[in-house]
Amino acid sequence: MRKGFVRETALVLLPLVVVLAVMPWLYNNQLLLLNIVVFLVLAQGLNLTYGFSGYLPFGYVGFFGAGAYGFALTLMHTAAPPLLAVLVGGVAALLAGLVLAPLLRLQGAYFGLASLAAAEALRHVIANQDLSEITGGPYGVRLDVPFRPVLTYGLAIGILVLVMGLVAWLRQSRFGLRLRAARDNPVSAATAGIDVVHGRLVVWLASATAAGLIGAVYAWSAPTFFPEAVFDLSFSIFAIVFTLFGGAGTLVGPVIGVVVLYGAYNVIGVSAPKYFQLVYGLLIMALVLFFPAGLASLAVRRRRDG
Amino acid sequence: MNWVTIARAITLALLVSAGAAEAADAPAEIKVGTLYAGSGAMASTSVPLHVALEYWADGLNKGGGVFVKGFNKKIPIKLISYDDQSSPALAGNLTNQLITQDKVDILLADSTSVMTAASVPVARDHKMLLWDVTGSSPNFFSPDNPYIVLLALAATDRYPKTIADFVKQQMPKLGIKSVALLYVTADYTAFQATAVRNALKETPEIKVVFDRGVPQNTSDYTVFVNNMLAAKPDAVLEFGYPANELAFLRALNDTDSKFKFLFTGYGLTEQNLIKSNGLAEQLHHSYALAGPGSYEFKVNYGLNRHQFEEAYEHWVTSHNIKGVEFGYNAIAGYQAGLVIERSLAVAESLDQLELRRAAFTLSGNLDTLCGPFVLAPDGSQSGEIAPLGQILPPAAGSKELGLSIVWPADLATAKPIYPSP
Repeated sequence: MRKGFVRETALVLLPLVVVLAVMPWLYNNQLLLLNIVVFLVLAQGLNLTYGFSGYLPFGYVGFFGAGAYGFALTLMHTAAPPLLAVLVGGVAALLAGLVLAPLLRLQGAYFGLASLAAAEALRHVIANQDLSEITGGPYGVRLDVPFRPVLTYGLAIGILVLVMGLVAWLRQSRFGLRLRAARDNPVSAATAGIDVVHGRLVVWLASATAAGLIGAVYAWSAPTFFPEAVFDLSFSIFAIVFTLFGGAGTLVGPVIGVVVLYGAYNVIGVSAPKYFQLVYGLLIMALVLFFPAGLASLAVRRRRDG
Repeated sequence: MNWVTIARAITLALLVSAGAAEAADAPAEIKVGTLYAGSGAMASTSVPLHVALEYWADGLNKGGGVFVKGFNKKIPIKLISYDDQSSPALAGNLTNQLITQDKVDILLADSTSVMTAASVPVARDHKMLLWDVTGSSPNFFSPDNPYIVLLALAATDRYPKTIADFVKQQMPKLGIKSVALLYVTADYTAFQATAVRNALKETPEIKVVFDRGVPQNTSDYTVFVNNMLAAKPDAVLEFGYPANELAFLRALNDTDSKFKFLFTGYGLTEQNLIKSNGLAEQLHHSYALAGPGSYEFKVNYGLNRHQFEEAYEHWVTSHNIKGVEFGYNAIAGYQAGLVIERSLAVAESLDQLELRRAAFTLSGNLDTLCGPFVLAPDGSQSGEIAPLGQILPPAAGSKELGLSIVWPADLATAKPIYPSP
């Protein structure tokens, strides 16, 4: 296990972190770099739950928003320092994950839609006019927090390392193996003595916490925001598409997805926005037709063929 | 050669070299960077505004550019626009792109508070003045942030004053005893609903029988219309964005419903859009804030409303731009351009705080299509508050809807017709 873990982290995680750490000296749109890390964390967080338990939460953005609001409400109502508020953001998402854990009784599209409804419900609770005194309601929040782009970027990379480290560990550990067995055939896995529910719950909560932590960092980097901004469904959609494009259940897949698709999103969005939907649509169609298991499956196929 | 001649020669040489240096320092173009939503929920407000900015820049460039006092010459404008697709996350990136990669001289936010929010911290961090066109949330303005000015709309906590005053002072006189509130749960619309709700709290003779917030992406209002009909209110006040107004009016049309008193947020400001969707009849005898799209504020710089409407529509047609209607957002875009133009004519340099100072010199001195331009010390807009109008059916032989101003009393041209016939 240790050998595989070291190999994967050395080949994927380490170079990625080095590149991300160096990028601010090469490219000065730091917000774009932060957003890349945000989507890397979201894609890997989604990878935790989808790649290892088979549950695809369309409402994943709910945890991101819970983290952003956990951070914001901590700063608004207490004298806590921002770093502690980031942790509270993670805890807020963890609690939301616990509350929504019964959704794991559903499967397939039912689970996906229920999670989406839950995220929308959470958004409407926060945007509720009657809770304006507490949450800012529809008027959003303005945080009196120092804008620290270098710190927030570093923090985001730290969270990415934790999440990718967890994915790498799951890929190599017995626990991860049990999870994948339960994902592929829950009845057989349960018959073999695997605690299917426990495994699913662990990755579900880890996934929620990852989104919450990065949601908190995002809120720190954009200290004036509205519920629509942090519960924007496009966060879920992007995280899902990036993960599926690269390959769920792998360490490198979501990284490929973010680099290729988010890169294309920004390049096309800046240079030829009119063609953005077309190019993006074609890319995703090509993926579905030729690489249904994601681009990372190419390497597996080559290894098997060779 | 005597001393006088030598002195003259030196002075001439200094003047020539100073002139040459000035010409050399002047940029070849003034880069104006802006975001707009070419698709998504904000497109209906953002696109007309962006088209108006293009019109403004095009007009200036045809005359040789914008006069910049700092260089004492006209310099062409280069409008750099990015489509943020109504995504706040992308808007933040693109704002950064405009500042760090394109190195714009003037930075404009996309329309609406939700989109503007993404640009505010980025602009502040880079010490770039954000020319905020319609992002009116009070959250953006604070005494410690000098890098923002609001151009074409009163801040949201000041804008609903007219309707709130009308509720308190006129509704009881009209015999209105119950009110229904329907609003989009976004900053701009919820603030207006709150202003009305607060006014109603001070008016105990009026009961709130329906009070519901709906998401901005609501496209079917049928259920809400039916619920309101069941509550039997004397007055309905609906606050939404243009796309919501269309959906709401369509629901009224489809259910053949009518209320005795109907207020809509964009009934006047986006009347052309509503007309082009075949819903003009639903506006008959309804009320709306008479923003600059319908009410003629006198201007002391630029085109008046009629001239601008004609010029804008001609420009849109000649550039083969489809689906863009003249309305408040078009005026907001044009006005933003005019304020920038006037500020550049006053600013001694392109330094961002100098540009802010220049914008403040216009405060109280510039009468715009949106009303008097008055900046509060924190950069928010205190002027540009619209009167309340009642939309009337077209007069005999006309196809145009009529309009009476019913409040405030000093601007009123007629008494409100209640109940709606």
